[in-house]
Amino acid sequence: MSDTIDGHGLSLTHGPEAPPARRQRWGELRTALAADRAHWRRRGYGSATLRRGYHAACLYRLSRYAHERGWRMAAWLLWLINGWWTGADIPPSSRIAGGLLIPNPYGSVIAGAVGRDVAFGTHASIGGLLKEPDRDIGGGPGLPVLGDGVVMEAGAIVLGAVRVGDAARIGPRAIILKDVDPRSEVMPQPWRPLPGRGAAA
Amino acid sequence: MSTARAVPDAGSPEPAQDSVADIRRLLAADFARVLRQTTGGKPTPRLRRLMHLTLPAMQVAILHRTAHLLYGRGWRRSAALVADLSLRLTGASLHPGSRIGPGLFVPHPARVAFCAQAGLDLVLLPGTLVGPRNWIPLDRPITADVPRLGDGVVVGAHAAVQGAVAIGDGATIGIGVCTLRDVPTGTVTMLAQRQLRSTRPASEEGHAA
Repeated sequence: MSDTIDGHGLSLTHGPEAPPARRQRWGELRTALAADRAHWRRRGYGSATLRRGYHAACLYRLSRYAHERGWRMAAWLLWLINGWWTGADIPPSSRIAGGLLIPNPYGSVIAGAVGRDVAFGTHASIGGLLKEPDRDIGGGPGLPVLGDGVVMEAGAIVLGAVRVGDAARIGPRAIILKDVDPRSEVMPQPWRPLPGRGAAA
Repeated sequence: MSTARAVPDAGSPEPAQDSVADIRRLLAADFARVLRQTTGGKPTPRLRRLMHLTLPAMQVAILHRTAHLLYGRGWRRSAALVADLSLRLTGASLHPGSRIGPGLFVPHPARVAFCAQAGLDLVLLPGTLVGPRNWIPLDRPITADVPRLGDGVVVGAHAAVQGAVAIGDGATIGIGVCTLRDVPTGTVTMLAQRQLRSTRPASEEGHAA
């Protein structure tokens, strides 16, 4: 860490970050949480304060703050508490903008970069495919990037360094391994009756 | 209690699930089902039969029946608490308002999410997602747009039934299948495409039905 001197000749000995930046970051955390609560209200879930999904967002944002400050132990401890309390695995290294909505956080994994006002259904997850671990498109090595207003329905999974466009809708149990265009809707694989065991489809 | 159920049972032939005696009867049926599945009907010592009460399948059944009883009495938050305990203990999240007939069998409750109506002898295999497209919080009343499963339905591992669909009696939802439409009575569903078949062309087989 080089000794930084600002324009007024004052030594910034507080560490890697100067106090105004720290306060600004805390303000970002608060606005992100306000956006989360607004998203809960907009979807008709009412007050968010006692919902575990909102607790997951709170704990993630706190751990993200600690991660950005360089408090690694605190950040990963908060991640662990998040897993115990809500069942969601949201590592502090993933970037999530405001307005995160996880109504049922148990079993969701969110590793990557996520835009504003994204909704995750039950067990919906994003994460890395071990195939191309070096490809980084902004979400981290081998991790996806979700645009603004993406809706992930129950059980949907996005894997690998792929980009999901703004306002796309990923249908239930769909598995995404390629880029998704903005405003498009992806549905899961269709089914058919087993031959001889059911009415002709 | 003045709380009316959000889904009215208009002339449904299903037995009532509103009193403690009903719950005991349902649990006896669930226990008989668990015993039949695990012992195959062979004569079993008494202690071993009692051991089956501690299996995850019975834990899910006991906690869900309790939660459903509380829900029916209008104690929604207590019911949500019991359902949450079930999620913590077993990993299965069954909405307390979902009405399930006798003979429920959830052999491996991990990652099971259920919010629907079901008949007799329901089987939920691990990782199933049955519910409306918009998830209903555990302390909210269940709505009319949940899936309706008939008698003897088997929902396979990692399968999903989403939206206000009707699954006929004796239908089997195959592994990994996601249905957004009705499944007729007795149908066994499977995924339309097979995976990991690189040597043979995909059009050669499987699309006859």
